[in-house]
Amino acid sequence: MLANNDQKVIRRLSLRSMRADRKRYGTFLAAAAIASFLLFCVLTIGLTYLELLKLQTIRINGADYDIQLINGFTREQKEKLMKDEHVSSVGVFAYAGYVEKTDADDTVHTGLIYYDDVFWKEQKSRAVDKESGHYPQKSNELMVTREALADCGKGELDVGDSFVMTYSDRRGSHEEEFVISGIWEGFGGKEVFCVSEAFYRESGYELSGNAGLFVKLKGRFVTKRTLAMLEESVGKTDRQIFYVNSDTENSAYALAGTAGLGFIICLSAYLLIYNIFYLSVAGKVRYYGLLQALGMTKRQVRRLVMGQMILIGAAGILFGTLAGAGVSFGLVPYVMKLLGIKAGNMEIRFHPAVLFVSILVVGCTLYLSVRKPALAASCITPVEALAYQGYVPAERKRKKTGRGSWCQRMAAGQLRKDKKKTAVVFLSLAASLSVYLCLTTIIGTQGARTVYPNHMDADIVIRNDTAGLEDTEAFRPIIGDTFVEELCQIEGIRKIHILSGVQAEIPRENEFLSVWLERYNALQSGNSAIESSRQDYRAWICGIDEAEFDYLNQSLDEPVDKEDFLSGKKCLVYHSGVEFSEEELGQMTVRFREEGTEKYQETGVAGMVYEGYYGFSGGPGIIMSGEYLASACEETDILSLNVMYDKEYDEETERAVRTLINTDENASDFYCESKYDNMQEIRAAQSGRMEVGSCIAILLLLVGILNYINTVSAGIQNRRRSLAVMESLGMSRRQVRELLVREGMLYAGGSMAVTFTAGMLVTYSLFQSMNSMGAPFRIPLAYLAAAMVLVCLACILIPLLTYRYMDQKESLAERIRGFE
Amino acid sequence: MNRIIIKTSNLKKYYQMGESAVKALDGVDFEAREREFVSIIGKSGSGKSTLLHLIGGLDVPDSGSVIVDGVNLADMDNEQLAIFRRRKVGFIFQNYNLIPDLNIYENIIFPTELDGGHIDDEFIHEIMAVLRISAKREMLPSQLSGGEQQRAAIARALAAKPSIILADEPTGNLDTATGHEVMGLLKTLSKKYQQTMVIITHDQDIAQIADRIVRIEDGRTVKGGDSYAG
Ligand SMILES: Nc1ncnc2c1ncn2[C@@H]1O[C@H](COP(=O)(O)OP(=O)(O)O)[C@@H](O)[C@H]1O
Ligand SMILES: [Mg+2]
Repeated sequence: MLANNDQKVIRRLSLRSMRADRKRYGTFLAAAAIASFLLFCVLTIGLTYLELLKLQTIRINGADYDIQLINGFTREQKEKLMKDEHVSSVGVFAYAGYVEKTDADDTVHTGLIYYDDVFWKEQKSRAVDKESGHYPQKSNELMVTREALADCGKGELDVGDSFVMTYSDRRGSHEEEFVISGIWEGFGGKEVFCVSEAFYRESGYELSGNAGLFVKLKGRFVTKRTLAMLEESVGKTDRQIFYVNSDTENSAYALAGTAGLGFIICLSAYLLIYNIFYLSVAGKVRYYGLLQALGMTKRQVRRLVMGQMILIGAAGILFGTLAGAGVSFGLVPYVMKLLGIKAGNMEIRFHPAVLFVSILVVGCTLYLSVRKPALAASCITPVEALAYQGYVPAERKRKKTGRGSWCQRMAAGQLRKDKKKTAVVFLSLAASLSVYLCLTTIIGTQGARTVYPNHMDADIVIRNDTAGLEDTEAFRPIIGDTFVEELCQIEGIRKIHILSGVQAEIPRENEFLSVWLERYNALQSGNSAIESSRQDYRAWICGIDEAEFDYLNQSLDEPVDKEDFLSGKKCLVYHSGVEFSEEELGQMTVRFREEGTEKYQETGVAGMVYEGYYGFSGGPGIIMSGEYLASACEETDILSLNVMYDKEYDEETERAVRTLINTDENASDFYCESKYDNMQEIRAAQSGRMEVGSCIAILLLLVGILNYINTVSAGIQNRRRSLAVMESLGMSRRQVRELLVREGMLYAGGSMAVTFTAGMLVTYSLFQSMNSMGAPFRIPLAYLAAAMVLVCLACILIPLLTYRYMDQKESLAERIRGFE
Repeated sequence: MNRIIIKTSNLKKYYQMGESAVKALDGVDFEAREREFVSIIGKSGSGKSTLLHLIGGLDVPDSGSVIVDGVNLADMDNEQLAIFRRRKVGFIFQNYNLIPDLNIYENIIFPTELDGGHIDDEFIHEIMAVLRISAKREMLPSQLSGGEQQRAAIARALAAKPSIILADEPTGNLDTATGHEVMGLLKTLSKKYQQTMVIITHDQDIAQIADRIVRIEDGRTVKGGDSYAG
């Protein structure tokens, strides 16, 4: 049969030409393999990156949820949420009191919280690394953390042990023996004991008061509209707060950003393949013309070309994917381990979708990049093909000759000559440089974003914990002058800001106090309202130094007169949830007297500060000049120290400070917040995310460079003729190299120009769309510089190396002959 | 007699083709004197192009020496060879080998420009006029006919005023009439500018224009093959 015959001859021709032209077809194979390899790696590692990002959010939030509804809820609200189509689970948490003291420690910070099954088993579990024992069932059981146990002075206890503690709930204060039913380790608030449902029932608290819901949504990406509708449907009261995680809130943008990146990655792969295939097939047009001259039909030529490509493409995809799998699942974890990067929970997993996408993209690209030249090859007439001179220019205006050196003209001319090829190389270089810029910027800034700064960005805050107790009688002045002096002696400490305090009484009839009390009680759900039976209200008046005042003052909308503040005429108030209007602030005065003295003083309320640092005793935090307090009052105590180091995160200084605190006789009554600890915690939460992200960035940069390597080296191979002719006319090798370097520099410069304009723009908008934490836009200059150097080197060295290789392998005569 | 400007002695060039070696040149002694017009003839594959390439310094022999203008090419490094080519030699190829990116004028001045030398525009105009390509100076090679392209290639070979012109079947791609015309021009110009001309051809008629004909067979010059024409 005729059809059969023609298949046979085409297959034979196809195999022969592939065998004869091994180098060219080897390049095809390599291109398909490299593209699928990169795509597979980038997507697999990229998905891992996204998972790590999610994990990080979960760890920082302490549980896997998207929305919190706090300050109480009703059963109807819970049911409505559970029925909503967007909601996947609804967990419950409820306040059940707090620990007052144990026989080992009387400054305890541990709260008692009840979690329901949904929260504990579904939402919390992803932030829990290790859990032994079980969630409390009986009312005397507790689920604890080691940290909370240590805070109670019971660090040595384990599951099954019991201890006595005094706790307080709505019904009052109780002393009881509790059994530790379980211990968990992981992320999230550690200073809690989890209690059983039975305990919660007895505590007297209500779900409508001090409780809340954790809502987990279906899917990773939600629009703002869905969130708004959900909030509406809950029908919340004024007191309730519907709080959406910022990551969830911005997930639509994150989706767009991710899709954008994915698109650029696919585009890079596309360019890589298209580049090689299109150019190579187009280069063989003459050969296909000859085949037609010998009687092959257009359809047969197309089939020949497509058949070869399908075979090579399939093999390339197979090799590439296998290599990609090897690198993703074997090499990357291995190298990370070798470099000592703690992988934590990072685990690169196989995603079938990735395999599917890489095959699809590479396949489609192969088809697209072969179809056009195959069509062109089949459309060319035999006569044209045999007379084919490569490039037939359209009429164009020529610049006057003699302007610029021959080298410049020829280098620029070379790039102009095949605009399409040049555009492809530019694009792919610029695209991968831009993606690199984008990724390093985003990873760099988002890496640092979550270190929550202490007040005034202090390296460590040391508090006297007894000052925070509700009972002001229990205060003990544990931070004395000697302690401060010893602290000052530690090497590496730059500055200490002292927060001093005076125990004062504010008379009930003081207007400021009564307004404050009224508004404060209105905010509470009843059980924690401050009774107004007591005669005078006891509170701390805090004193700050001048530098701290300057710091606070610059954050105020309406700065306070410094003279007035320093002389005690004006004070600042800490915002404890109670709002005062501008006018009220200007008019109100606080009347107080130092405890144990008779003289009353007055100071005008001038501004409101929002730093949580000042809110420790619950009342209206009044802040005055420390120097003034020291002169006007008889006894001032040190409430807290804000310590700055010479070097941020300095381990040695941190250790010295810790030693000083831990060896103090009142060690258990100190409370520290250190930046160093925060950083460690965040490092643990991020585990490997940065490294994985950098992997992708570097892989992508390689895509661009590979693309360049392959186009340029193929280009120079194709230019053997013109280069050889020029050499025969007396061009020296140095001059050829100069020409090649110039071309390379044009590529490098051009692609960088595109990166710094368009790429920067894209990076900036992507960055802003994903920037849920409001991190400042900062370009990682070192990374960028490294990439630029790499690109420049590649642009210059690749042509030179190709030329050198070619030059060594063939003599000039051979190169010229090749075309005779 | 003029002095000898090109002299090769016992020139050998073998190409290894798998098991067997192709003896492209197998001991060639060739010489040409100043202002001489020599044509080399021989069958296809006899080694003519190889010889020309060796004389022009495009390739190096396996053994034997090439001495041009008193200098042994083997003593030159690549840089010196390139300079030698652009100052001393003008090449003309069968397939013209004009640089497609440059227009005709730029092509012609290319070797001079490489040298950073002064461009003698009057001279360029003169040879362009003689070769009748003045009207095409702004055009690209692909816009010219074969004969025009070859005339441009000749102009390029002459432009740097080299003392030697090496032409490898310059008329091979041209029809007989154009071929004869190009050959005539070559002869006139070489006489006018006092150049040594070595031309490869397989066209006996064309060879007759030369002062002397050298015949090559199987990589050797045929003894007594030298014949003095004209
Ligand atoms: N690069 C090469 N590799 C192998 N053989 C070659 C090469 N160049 C030339 N030859 C062989 O050398 C012989 C002489 O070639 P050539 O000088 O081109 O002959 P002519 O120009 O007389 O036709 C031929 O047999 C040719 O096949
Ligand atoms: Mg030849």
